[in-house]
Amino acid sequence: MSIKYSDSGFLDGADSTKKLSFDVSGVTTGTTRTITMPDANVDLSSVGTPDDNSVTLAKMAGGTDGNLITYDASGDPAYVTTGTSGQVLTSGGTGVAPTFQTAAAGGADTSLSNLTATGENKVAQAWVNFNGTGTVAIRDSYNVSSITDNVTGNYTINFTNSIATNSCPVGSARSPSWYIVTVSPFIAGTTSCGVWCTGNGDNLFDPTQVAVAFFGD
Amino acid sequence: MKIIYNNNDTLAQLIPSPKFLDTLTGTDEEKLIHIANKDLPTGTPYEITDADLSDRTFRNAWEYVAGSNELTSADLSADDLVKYNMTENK
Repeated sequence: MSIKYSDSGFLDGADSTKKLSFDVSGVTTGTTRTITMPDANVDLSSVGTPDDNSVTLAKMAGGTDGNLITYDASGDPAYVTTGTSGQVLTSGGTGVAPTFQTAAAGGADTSLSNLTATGENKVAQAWVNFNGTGTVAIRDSYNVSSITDNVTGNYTINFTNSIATNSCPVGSARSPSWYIVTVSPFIAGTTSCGVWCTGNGDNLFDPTQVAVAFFGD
Repeated sequence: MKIIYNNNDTLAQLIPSPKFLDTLTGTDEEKLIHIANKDLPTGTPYEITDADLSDRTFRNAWEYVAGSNELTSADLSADDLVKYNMTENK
């Protein structure tokens, strides 16, 4: 590569019609501007094109707080205008920039985690599964602190936390020999409930499986 | 262990819920005293026992006889009444 110098700038060594000139007409009169060379080769063809992953947020142009960046129909960067508080970003589909819009009204939150607000009467206030034979033993329970073994086939379920009056008890039981038995729970109060287990002939007896649940407000 | 007491001239057994026991602190006896105060009518004489009462022959004829370790159920504290949503002891 050869370069020639002339009053009009730099000329290509082989083709003098190829020139490089400097235009300093914009420099203030009496002022010297300096081009500083780094200690490395410089390829001016890449000037103005940042490296991948090199543009930081600070290098981006400022904008309006709340605006989002999208692309317009020409594929150029564009802003999604900030919506009002509470609006949600809604897609406009292919070829349409998204917009902030007011969300559609939803239905009541009836999830289990929201039962306090929407009605705890949908789930049992208390339940227990116990063995009524031998030494009466509670297999598992919820909101039950103890069971009183009164006499044969007669038990009292004591609640940990009081439940509402007029609750609805539901019970079932089976005997060791799979006879059909009837559990007759009757609410004695908000802190406990009596349970009778009867078999053939309305005789009270002790089932191996007794399960009772209580529903109410 | 369990709680036994007189209920209409027969022996009643108060069987604690394992889950409720897990929520209480103190010794096993202290936990049962708490349950007795909560689930027995205030002033009910009772005993804490680990006797084997699994043979239910003539169950309806069992009688409670006061022993030397008899206790009496007491009122729950005001804080416990609030915790259990109880307006008064049974």
